[in-house]
Amino acid sequence: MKKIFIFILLIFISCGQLIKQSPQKDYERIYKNLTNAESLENPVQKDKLINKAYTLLMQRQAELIKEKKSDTTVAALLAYYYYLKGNYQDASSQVELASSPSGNNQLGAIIQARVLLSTKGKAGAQGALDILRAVEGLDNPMAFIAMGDAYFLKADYDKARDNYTKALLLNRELQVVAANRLEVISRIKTLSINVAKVSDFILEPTMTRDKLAYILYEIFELQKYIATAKPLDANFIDLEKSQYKSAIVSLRQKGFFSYIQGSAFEPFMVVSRGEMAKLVEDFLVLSRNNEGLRSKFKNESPPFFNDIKNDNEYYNAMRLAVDMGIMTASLSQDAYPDESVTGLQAIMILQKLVK
Amino acid sequence: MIIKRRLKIFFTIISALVIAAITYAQFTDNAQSDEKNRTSKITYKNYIWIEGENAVSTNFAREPIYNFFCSNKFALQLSKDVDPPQDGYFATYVFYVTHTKEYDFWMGCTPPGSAYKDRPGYASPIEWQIDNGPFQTASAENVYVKSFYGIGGFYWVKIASGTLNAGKHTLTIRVKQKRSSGWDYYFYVDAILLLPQYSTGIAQLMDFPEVAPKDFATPGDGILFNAPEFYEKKLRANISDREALFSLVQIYGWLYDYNKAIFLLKKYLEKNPRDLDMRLELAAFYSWSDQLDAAISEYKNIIAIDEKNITARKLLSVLAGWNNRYDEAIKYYQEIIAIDPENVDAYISLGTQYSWKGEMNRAIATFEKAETIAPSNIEVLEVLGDNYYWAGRAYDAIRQYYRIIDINEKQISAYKKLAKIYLDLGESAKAARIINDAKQVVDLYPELSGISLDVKDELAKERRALIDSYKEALVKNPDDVNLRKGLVDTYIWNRMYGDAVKEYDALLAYKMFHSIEQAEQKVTRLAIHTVGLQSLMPLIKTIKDDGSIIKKRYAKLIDDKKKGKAVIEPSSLASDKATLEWYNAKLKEIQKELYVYNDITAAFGKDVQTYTAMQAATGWHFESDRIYRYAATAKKLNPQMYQPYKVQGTIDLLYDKPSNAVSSFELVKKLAAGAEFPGLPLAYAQTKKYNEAIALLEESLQSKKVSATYKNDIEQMLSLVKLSKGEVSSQSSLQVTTQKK
Repeated sequence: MKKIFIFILLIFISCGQLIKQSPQKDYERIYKNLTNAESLENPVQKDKLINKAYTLLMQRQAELIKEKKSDTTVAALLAYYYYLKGNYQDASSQVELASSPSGNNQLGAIIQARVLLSTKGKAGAQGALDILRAVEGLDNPMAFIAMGDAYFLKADYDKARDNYTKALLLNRELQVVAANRLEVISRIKTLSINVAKVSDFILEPTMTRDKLAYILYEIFELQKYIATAKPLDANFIDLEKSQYKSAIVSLRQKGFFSYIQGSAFEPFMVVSRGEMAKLVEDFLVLSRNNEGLRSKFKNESPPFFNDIKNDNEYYNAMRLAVDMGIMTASLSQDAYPDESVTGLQAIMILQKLVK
Repeated sequence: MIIKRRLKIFFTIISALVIAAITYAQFTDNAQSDEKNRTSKITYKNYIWIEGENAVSTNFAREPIYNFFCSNKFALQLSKDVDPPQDGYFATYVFYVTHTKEYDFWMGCTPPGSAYKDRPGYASPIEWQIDNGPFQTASAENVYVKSFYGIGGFYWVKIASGTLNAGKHTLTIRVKQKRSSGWDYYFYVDAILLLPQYSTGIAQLMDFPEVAPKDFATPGDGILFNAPEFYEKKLRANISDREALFSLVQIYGWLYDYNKAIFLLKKYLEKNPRDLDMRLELAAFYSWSDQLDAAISEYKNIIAIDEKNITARKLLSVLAGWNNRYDEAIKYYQEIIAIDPENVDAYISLGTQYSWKGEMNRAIATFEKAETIAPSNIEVLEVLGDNYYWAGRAYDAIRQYYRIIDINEKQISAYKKLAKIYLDLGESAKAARIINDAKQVVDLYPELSGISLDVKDELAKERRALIDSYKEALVKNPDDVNLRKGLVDTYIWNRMYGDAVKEYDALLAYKMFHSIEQAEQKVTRLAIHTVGLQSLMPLIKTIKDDGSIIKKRYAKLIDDKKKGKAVIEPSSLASDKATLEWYNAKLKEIQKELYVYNDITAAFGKDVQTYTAMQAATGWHFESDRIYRYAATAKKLNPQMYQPYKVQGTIDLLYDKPSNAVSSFELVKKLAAGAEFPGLPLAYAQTKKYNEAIALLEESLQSKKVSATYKNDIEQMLSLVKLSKGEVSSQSSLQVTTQKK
């Protein structure tokens, strides 16, 4: 009889273990919050999910500390969290924790590859692919996206597209990311430039002044179209930090960046749609030697745009760019001059400009 | 010992079962999700699809129109020959964009016609606006008509391209122009599609509604529509010119020339009897022209040619169902099931017929059968849940909706239905929890953000904002009938029938005030002259009385004179004669006035005739109580309005309650000085307050509010009234004379 009771007790304990909610469920929840955050564009909604995931991660970590245990999944998820926050250093530290002592944490490996791609760009592509080889056989959407990104940076767009499509077809997380990448590939197929040269910039969510100068000068070679240069002072005090200093100086000597006054260029400033339009205006004025273009639409009435009047500093430039089909207004006919320009948008605008 | 062994075996079996169940659940879970993942189409959608009939607000129509071939089987249809309000006929949509991108803006609609009156236009050109941007025209001149997709003249039309920023947006479609080839404002919209540019590759992988274009390429100029004569000429040469016939029958459809279309289709089918698409067109034209039997016969013809033509069979069933011939519809659906026993759609339709017929048990049994065929089909699970709920089986419905959420947590409609049932059951905490779960799901999935507008009550907010904007505008312009019409339409479109009825009451009240005010201009002259004549009543009475006195005074003398007796002329003769002459002169003036009065009243002869004829024809009677009720409604809506009091005063005058009329018109004067004219002078005159009446007439001459049109009439009346002034002394002298006698 005693044996029976012990037996029953054992059964209940084992069943209890099976029924007890494992941390796996929590991890899934955290992962879901993070992947969905990555899929969102709205920064407020994005932060909401990221912070929720972080709270859950901290709760779990507190439990682990209490139990004097460690869990590589927590480290991998934290690595993902830091990666999404753009904190690649902490992300790398967590990746290290995730890969030791037992190693073989898939998410950790994928994040490691992604951090490499984000920090090194094209130069990190092969390294990322080597890391991802370990998870290649798994049906993991994030692994496919990371592989797609690596191939993308290597300018192997067919392989990139195959990987993004695989991520999409899994019908799981990060479909939005995969679909957006596929749209980018469809878009760059329309470019006539050597895309490999700009692959580092295409996926950039924003463009800085110095990077844009590099693209203008080295990739699209806008200086070649200038009939009469109108040199401007290029002695900016803050160009030393930028690796694209020579492009900036050369363009300035041709008459570009005419709207920048004073001694500071601010090379790392994010380029807005309004500034992009100003550069378009510079190019049109210089290539056609027609200064009158700078005031072509200044007195336009009623204003064409819904959100800016004709006395706005960007009005004429934006109106000129839209009029010539180089930039587009929104369906609501808003100019959105303060919105930042993505790498791909900048390249598409320049492509239209030189055409 | 035996017991022990049995117990041992029993517990071993139980524990084995428990472990097996848990393990099985885990494995099947994985297996199911793997199965889901291997479907050919992806669940993700990067496009925005808005049903035309889901307008937040519209005055296109009062309700969506059923069309078997349309997306979601309904469309929003504008077809009105009455001129629209100032801002045109409109339909407003609210949608959510998850990612800032360049989008192509497509519409499933009747292709917008030419903006020019001398070019063919079978639908009105439209104007569209995103958010607060300018209205932009979409006409035959600047849209791309890609392909036909739905009987009823529905085509896919690319309207424009441009960037849409992430966030909530409003799209307004407006029609301000009649179609150039017709006499009315005409535009049907079935669906709106916003597709990110450069997503043609992904489009192949995504699941679109059945009616969506098969691809989104836009080669050439697209489909252009010519004048009917162009196609008619082609068909006269060759009736089998399918392309020409197809375009022409669409045009005939848009122009309501159903018989012409039927004639041509029949001729074509004589030569091409197996063209089933054209037969479907013919059947549709029969049903639109109310030739139900011919339509049924045509569907049967199709089935005779192609026994497995499910579309014809479904249409046959739909036609029967919509005409309340449920048994026939049931028979047809059963035939479809006999041909295709796995046709889940047919089971759903069959169950729906039973449900419409009120046979809930059969309906549920049919849906349950469909569930056994497709246990993971959300539509089946949902319709079964709905029917459980309608049959009063709330807990079965709850179970069903939870199953849906288990299969796909993104099914927001299931959360909403669950919340509704819990509210019905009085479990509001559970309802709140469910809605909260839905909100969290929406937060997690960006593609659901459009739905979030609904879940987070954003659409309702949008509707409320629109209604409030109407109300605010009405406070400023309470008698703007067009605003009121817009509000009524908004209420009806949003199924707020109670509010619509109330607003209708207000609208009728205001309309009545307008009519009365318009009529008032016509009756003002009548009123002024009536006041004048009534003010002369004391004078006329005096003349009458004095005449009677004088007549009595001289009656004996006249009689004596007739008999030949000697008569001595009384001393009063001279003054009496003078009095009578004076009265005679006044009566001549009054007579002149009566001629004028007669002319004025003659102008109402036709109105009276019409009124009498209408009354006889319709049995309608003027109900003062109803008018009073309208006035009371209007007073409640806006106590500062003078019109309701004016209406009450007018009715009181008509129904011989002049004292009440005086009170009402005095209130009108307080609320809007000048508006009491000419009601108050008339009411004073009716209550014999002649001096007050005259004073008001004099006052009105100074008032700018009284139109110059009436100046002459008033002056004429005042000079006439002066007759009475002289009369007072005359009367007193006569009385004195009489008394002396």
